[in-house]
Amino acid sequence: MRRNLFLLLAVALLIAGITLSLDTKTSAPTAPATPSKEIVPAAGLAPDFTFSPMGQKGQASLSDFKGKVVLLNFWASWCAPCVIEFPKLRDLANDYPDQLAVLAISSDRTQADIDKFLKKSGISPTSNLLIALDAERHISQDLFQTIRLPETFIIAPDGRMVRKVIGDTDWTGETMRAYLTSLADAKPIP
Amino acid sequence: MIRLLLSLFLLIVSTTQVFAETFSMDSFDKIPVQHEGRIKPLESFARLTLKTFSQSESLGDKQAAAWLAETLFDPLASAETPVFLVRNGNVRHLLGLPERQNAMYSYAELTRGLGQTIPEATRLASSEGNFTRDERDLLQLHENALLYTQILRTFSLILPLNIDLPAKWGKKIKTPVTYLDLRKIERDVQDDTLSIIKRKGEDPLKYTDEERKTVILSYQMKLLGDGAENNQLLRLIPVQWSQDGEWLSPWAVLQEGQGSPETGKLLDVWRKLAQAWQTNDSAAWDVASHEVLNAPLIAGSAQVKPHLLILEVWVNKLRLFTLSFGLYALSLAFSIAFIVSRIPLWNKMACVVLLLAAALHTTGITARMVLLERPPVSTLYESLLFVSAAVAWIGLLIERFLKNATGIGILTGAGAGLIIGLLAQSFGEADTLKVLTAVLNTRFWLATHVVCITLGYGWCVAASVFAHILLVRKALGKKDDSERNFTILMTLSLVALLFTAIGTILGGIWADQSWGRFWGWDPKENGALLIVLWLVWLMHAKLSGHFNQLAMLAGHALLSIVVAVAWLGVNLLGVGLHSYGFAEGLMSGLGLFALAETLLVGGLFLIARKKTHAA
Repeated sequence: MRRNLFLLLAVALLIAGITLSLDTKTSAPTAPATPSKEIVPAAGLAPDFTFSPMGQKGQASLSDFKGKVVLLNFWASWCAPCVIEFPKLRDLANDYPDQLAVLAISSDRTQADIDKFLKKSGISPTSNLLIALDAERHISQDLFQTIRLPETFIIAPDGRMVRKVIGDTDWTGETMRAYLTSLADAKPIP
Repeated sequence: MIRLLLSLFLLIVSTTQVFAETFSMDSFDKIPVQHEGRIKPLESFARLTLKTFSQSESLGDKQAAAWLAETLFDPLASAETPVFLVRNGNVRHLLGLPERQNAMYSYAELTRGLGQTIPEATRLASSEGNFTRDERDLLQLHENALLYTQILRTFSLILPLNIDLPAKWGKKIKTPVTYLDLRKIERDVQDDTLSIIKRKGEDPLKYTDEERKTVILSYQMKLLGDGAENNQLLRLIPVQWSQDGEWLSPWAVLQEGQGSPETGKLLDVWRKLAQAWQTNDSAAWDVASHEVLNAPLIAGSAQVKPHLLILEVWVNKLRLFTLSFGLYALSLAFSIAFIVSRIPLWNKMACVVLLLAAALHTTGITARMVLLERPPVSTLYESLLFVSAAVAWIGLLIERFLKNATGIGILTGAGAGLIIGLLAQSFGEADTLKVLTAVLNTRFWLATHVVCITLGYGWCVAASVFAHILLVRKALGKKDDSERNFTILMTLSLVALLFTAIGTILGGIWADQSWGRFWGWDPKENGALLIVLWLVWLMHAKLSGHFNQLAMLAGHALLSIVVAVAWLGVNLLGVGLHSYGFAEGLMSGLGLFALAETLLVGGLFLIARKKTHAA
């Protein structure tokens, strides 16, 4: 009888032990992960695509900007938040001419709509601020599944999509500058 | 014997393997979805949802996963399938539903009546207080219909639409057209519509054919978009840049701006899957469902553990608990046959079947632990499952001690295992594998306090059932090894006291850590204390010589009422901090049980005393 009672207690202790060991393992699958202060790793590389930048002859492609931080911004001239943040993107591009490129892909209906907006806001394309029309939505929707404008993919120098900014944001703020600088300075992942 | 068991096993397994459709659900079953706070296979989601609507996990020959696939990819056919069980005759009358034997109705049949009762349902949903049965059933039906429409519209953004495009757009967009395709021209269609209304007013009779098509298209697009508002039920897509492990429904991915090249690829594969279903192409279906399962976004997610998805699908299909409860019943029948006939073979068979049942039952509980990554008991339903398995093993243990094979141990284990198991099955909550709220999601305390106290319930139940059997034998005037039986009863009682007392103290320590006090006279705490006091009282009465053997048997038999009150009864009060166990609708059952037990034990006690005196 005593032997059996010991056996019983041993089983109970074993169950408790197993559970304790489970407790020390990683948390449940849906438990929130600890926010990382590092760059959030994303799945996969940004797919390459070609486009026709305004004010330039010929075509350009995303891969041309490898080695730079790329802000792939989807916008339209009829989208109020897009219009508000556009000058800040221009300022950012001006401040980091060698480290950063802004590719602004527009969902406007016609080139004239973009021209009208650029004229009104006094913005001109530069070597690292490229503006292009994507009237058929092949880049914005088919490739990047972007519908809610503005949406911006931040692409690291090695081509990884590291973050997506939904809606407008303060591109010239200190936090964003520090983040983009850290990206530009980061060693590429082999 | 083995052949019999094998046949029974295959019978249950085979019923879950037959699909009415020609499609294989092997890969589709295992596609992960985030639901109720955890990642589970679509098969589990389908079973749970179908059971919510129809109180059944299948529709005749059609398995839950096949029903879900039809609802996702062929909404029109699904809306005509009777899937809603409307048991309440008054609700059927209110909704104008035709009477039929099985009381099953399709969504299409319900829509008119539901539409007319929206004001009533809205009023009920916003009000607090006690609903009548009719009101509760009507509200429930509205909620179920809402849930159903969410599933129905899950993929309305990628399914082909029956839309007549204006010639201007027909050239630009490939057919069959989907909502996602239309999104590309949404702005243009809106501008054109505004221009038409500005020029010609709002009377469609003044429009040309093309203009009318444009205006209708604009309206249809708005309808589709509005219909998808808050469509967040089927969270099939991991959010690529999420830090909290959130998944989203296809619509929410777009509406919340979480689209990416990866989500695009995943939706493309879902589109292929939908196409395969609609064109009845089983080969394409196999390829596409496999592709969904292996899409980079799914296969690369740290939250997706393929072995757990496979395990859960198998656990669902094997129905381990139903199987074990069936075997408990078989063991009970063999055991009764042995007691009546005294043929030893019956007892051996009862023992083997009980062993198999307990093993399957324990496997089921272990599988739940693995899937939920937490100890076995956290809800009332789980405690019922756990206690029934514990009692089965205790019964086998008793049988081992009773070397002269009286069959009492088997009778105890199989009888109690079956009754408590059926009680667990009758719970509406069923086997949902829910994730718990934070306060209970503490593995250490769930593994110590909760397991300890629940094991205590198990030993109490075993002691009570054992005492019942001994009382019956005494009342029947059976002469058996009563001293040995009594010693076993005392052992059961002491072990029950040990687990219940330690469990209660551990509960106090947990309460001190979580709520800042060791003891708060919470109903559940009082219930646990009641069991301890009852057992201590019986022990004192025995030691002091106040109770003879017969009174001790009666006292232990009545332990069932104390345990029922502590385990289930205090939950009826709806107060206290142990909110996981609140239950409704048990009061009359519990009252009847207590009355019946009092009459039964009292009657047996009086008869047995008379027989003892006569002897």
